[in-house]
Amino acid sequence: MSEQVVGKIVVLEPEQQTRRDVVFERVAGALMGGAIADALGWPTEFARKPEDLHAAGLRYPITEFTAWHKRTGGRFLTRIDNIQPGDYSDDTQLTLSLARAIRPDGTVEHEYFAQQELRYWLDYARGAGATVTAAARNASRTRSDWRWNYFRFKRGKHDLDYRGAGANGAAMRMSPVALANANDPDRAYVEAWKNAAVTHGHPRAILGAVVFAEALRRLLRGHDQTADEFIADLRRWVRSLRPPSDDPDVRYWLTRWNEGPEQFDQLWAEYVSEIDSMIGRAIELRSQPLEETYRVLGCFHPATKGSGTASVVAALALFLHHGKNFERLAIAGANILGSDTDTIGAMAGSMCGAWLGYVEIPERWAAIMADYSYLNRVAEYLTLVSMRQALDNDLRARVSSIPPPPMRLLDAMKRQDIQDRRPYWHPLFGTGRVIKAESQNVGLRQPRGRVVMATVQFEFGQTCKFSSFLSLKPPSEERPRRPKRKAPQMRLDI
Amino acid sequence: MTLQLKANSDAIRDALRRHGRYELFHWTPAARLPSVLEQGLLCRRELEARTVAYDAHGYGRAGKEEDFAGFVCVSFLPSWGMMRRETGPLAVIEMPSTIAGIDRSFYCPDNTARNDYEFDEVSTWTELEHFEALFAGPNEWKLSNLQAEVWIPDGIPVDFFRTVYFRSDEDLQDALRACEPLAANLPRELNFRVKMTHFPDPDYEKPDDLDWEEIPIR
Repeated sequence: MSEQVVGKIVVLEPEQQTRRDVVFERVAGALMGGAIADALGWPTEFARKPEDLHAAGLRYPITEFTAWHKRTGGRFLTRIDNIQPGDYSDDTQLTLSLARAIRPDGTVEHEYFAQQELRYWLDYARGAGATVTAAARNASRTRSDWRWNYFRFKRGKHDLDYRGAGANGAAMRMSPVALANANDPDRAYVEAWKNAAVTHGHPRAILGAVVFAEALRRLLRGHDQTADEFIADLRRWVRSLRPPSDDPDVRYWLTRWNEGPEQFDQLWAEYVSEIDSMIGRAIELRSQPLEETYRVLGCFHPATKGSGTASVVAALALFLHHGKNFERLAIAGANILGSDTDTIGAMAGSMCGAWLGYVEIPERWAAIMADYSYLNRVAEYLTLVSMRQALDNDLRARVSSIPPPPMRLLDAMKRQDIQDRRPYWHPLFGTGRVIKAESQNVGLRQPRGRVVMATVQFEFGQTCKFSSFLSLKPPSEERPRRPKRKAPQMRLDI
Repeated sequence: MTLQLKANSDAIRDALRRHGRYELFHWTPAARLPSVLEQGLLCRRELEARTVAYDAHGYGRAGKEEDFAGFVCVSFLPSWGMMRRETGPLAVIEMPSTIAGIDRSFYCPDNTARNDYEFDEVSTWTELEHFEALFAGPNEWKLSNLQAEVWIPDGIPVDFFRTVYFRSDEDLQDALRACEPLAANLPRELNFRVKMTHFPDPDYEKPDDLDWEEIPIR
């Protein structure tokens, strides 16, 4: 039924199945499904072969949540991050951050997301990618503007900039935008577009984000289509995509983007056709093993493994293969070694959870997910937003006034003066209690410093793990600073 | 019409969230809708002052409606009992429940028209404890009585209207035609929607005496 509009009166479809519990079932399925698949796929994210998992204390194939450890901190300051069963990575962390930025009308407070959520996320990020990290660093600068968060970063040996940031870091967090706008495709598209552009400037990343959001939004609506019809409709929608230049923020962004050597519209058309043909290839290969589809999409190649478009199409392929059974989908996604298992898994898990509903998600996984209650609260809020019944966003912490310095978490972390079981205060997350404090000496041959890690359970519902490094050398023994070279004096006399 | 919030409107808002109640309703004959969309929901006194015609309802004992003439009644469920008396098409207007935090609003845990309630007493029930009495428990979604009412002083501007519900598509289309001249000048976007469950079943006949054994279990 087409929408009827008279002046400012919009006639909606007759209300039938909009009971709150029915919508919640799907929204909670999408959120929990994404978080579980992320947690299950995180251990295999960087494994290329089964033996790589042994070093982390795991066995191939991964079929259940287990405790494992991850080496982080680079080659010289390696530390061990002990990860508990059900802990999730940056995909779910940023999904929750974005949910906190969603207004009751389904729009996103992008400025809050960029300058608050991203800024403080850097302190507790787990398994973060290079692009999102660089974007978050840049966004947290005082003078930054979320509408044009231009930055430069290094990826391997390559120097890249914002316009070249085409990874899946935008798509991976986009589910709240889709869930909050289940009945409003236009708002979902524009908000997903704008939020993706906060961290990524390449059309691949933005396309990946909007296509994932739209696929998830369509799956939320129910079982009125076959898989083939769903894909055919999605492809038609993809082919019709244009940048939403009616929006003033997007218009400003496009003007700034086009100040570079290339024109965005041309590239956009090119990558729209790329993702369309990728979806086509994924359909053609549906009868082949999933690994073949991943290979054709470039999901095993280091240069394209994390591409925004390839990851989303891989997630669609994973969903089309195993979408009838969440358990099989999550396990399959986690065990395709060499691919971006957690991100592809999280996106496919969200789609599957939205399609099947929360009831089809194994309780043995859901029950041990970190922040289970908070994820449910987020689902409750997004359900109300999608029905346009939310009053205000109550997912954020209520932050009290600044306490004395010993109580401030970030200062205490910097000083490495953290005590177990003690309450601390965070500028964005409010009050929380340290539930586990760990300390490790780091250094290749001899200890060069100490890393303290503190897991903090915040009263508002989320648990975050913070870490800080402090050099063991006393300040005087540190390498002397090179004296500042004086600028040559200009001689004006002749 | 100037609106001011109660000093404890935040607490009311928290309570609404705790009880999971996000909307309040007011029903009106669909024929009155153009006037309502033009002027807002006005109390009887305001309607008279602006010489707007209205249908007078009896309200408990004779003359009781005069006491409440400065207030508009809204409820958490559209009032089927009152609607059953109407013969023409009806419209149910949905508004955010936060209007319960408007200054001087008061709360009655039952149908205010009942003889137990007099204006002088009910109009003092403006505090959080009175608001909580509308619900079956501190965290309950259920109301203590389905006819619980919230009374808003003076009126409710059109800005607060979110959706107008109709019993059938025919009623909706009739209302749409009648409201068309105003549609472009509304202060914000407004939804029209058919939702049968907001209206009493027209074929329903109240049995004289319920015989539970005769009602088949489905």
